[in-house]
Amino acid sequence: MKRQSSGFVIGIIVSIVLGFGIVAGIVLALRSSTALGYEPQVLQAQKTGPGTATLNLSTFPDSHVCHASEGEPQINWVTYCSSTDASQGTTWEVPPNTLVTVIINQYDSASGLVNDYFSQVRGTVGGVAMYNGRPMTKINPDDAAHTFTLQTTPDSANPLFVSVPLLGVPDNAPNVDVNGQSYPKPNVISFQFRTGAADTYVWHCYVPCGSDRGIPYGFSGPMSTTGYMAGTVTVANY
Amino acid sequence: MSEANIDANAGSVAPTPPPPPTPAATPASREPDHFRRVLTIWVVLSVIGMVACIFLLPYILPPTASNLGSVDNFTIVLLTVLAIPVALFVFVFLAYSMFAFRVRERPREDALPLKPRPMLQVGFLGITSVLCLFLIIYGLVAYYQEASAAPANPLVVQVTGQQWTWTFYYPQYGVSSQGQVLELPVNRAVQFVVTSKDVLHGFAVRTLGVRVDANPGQVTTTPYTTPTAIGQYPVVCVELCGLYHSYMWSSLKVVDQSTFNSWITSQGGHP
Repeated sequence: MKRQSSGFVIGIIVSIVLGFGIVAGIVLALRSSTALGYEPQVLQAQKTGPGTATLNLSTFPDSHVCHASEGEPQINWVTYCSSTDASQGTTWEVPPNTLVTVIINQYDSASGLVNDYFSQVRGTVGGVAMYNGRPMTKINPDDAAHTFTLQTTPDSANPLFVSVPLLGVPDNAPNVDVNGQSYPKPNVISFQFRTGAADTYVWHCYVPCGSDRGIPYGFSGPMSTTGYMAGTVTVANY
Repeated sequence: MSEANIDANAGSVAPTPPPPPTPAATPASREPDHFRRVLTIWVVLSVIGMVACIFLLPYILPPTASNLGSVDNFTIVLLTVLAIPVALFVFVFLAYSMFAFRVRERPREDALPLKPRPMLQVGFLGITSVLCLFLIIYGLVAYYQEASAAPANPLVVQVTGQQWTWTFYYPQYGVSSQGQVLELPVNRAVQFVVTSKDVLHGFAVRTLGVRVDANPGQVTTTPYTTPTAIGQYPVVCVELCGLYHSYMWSSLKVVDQSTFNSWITSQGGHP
């Protein structure tokens, strides 16, 4: 057998190590980018009649219901998802030129707003939202657990801005069972807004409800990752 | 021996074969005046560049809709015009040297050492100093004009940055903009009071000549700027601030005073 030079052997070893390193790097990078750009299954608003549709959502203090397969730390992140199918999360689709009714079961306690602007209901029909059946235009900023804030992307031809603060559940609220998990009895918040022509928007929460529920880390984790407290709304025919 | 000497002595001696040509016997090729040549190239290119800059830059720069924006664009044109001869000085001398003094063989000895030329040193330092001094004075005067002139009845807008939107509060009218809209009346000075609720943001309205950092826990006040053209312009965040930084955007609408009053009323305020 022909004897190979030591440089050749070292080159082979280095190439193998480098190859593994590159593959590992690509896998890690893909995992990271997938986490950042995670797009869950699309939740379509249910058409309830000509020109009307309903979007049923929930907000939870953790991800045991909405992201049951996740590990640490995501399993402890606050999150939005569909009230009817937890696999449908934060990518929503609503029909154009429609009166959309949004119903949110809000299971989380209050964290408080850092910007009072979001304590007022804005952009809804009548400028009001129903909180457990009671119409309100504004809540105490300290009582907000999350916000539902939908905003226009740059250069959009159909501006749309809807912002509704979500009232936190009281500490002494009785518990209820959701998919085998125990949560406080939710506040039910509903409101309506009108869509225009087909377009794409983003939505997210303006309460710093992330990692430590305060400044500055309250804006990290679920607040900086699509699929939890941020997502997209597409106005499209279906 | 030179050719002249050879010719002069030709008849005094018996005919002898002519000596082989030597380097000293050929006429000396006259070295061109490199300095004058490169200076001419530099001056010509600088003039062309400066004129082109003056006439072309206004087409490249974004449009302005305020007095500050116009000053911004003028400053960009001025600084570019001043920078052209400075940059060309370096590039032209470098390029000329590479071509004019190139050699095919590897040099066997060092080049002649440069002798200090007092006029060159004084000129270089002097021109550089004058340019710097001009820029300092220009900047101070521009800053003084922006900072000192307090117009009558200015509009104040409190701007708050938060991941990932701008919110606008009009304290004189006790009202906030309902959406991603910053509405301003034309020909009325406005001052922005800017802060952030979370991380560092950058509040920028290019057409108004406004760009200021929005710092958490700190309030920054901009100079007065007066919108001069009715229209719709972008308001953006110019500091990378997180997931939806690219969507941290609002629309500036410059409208006439009556439209502005109507808008204030529609937002829940009292003009």
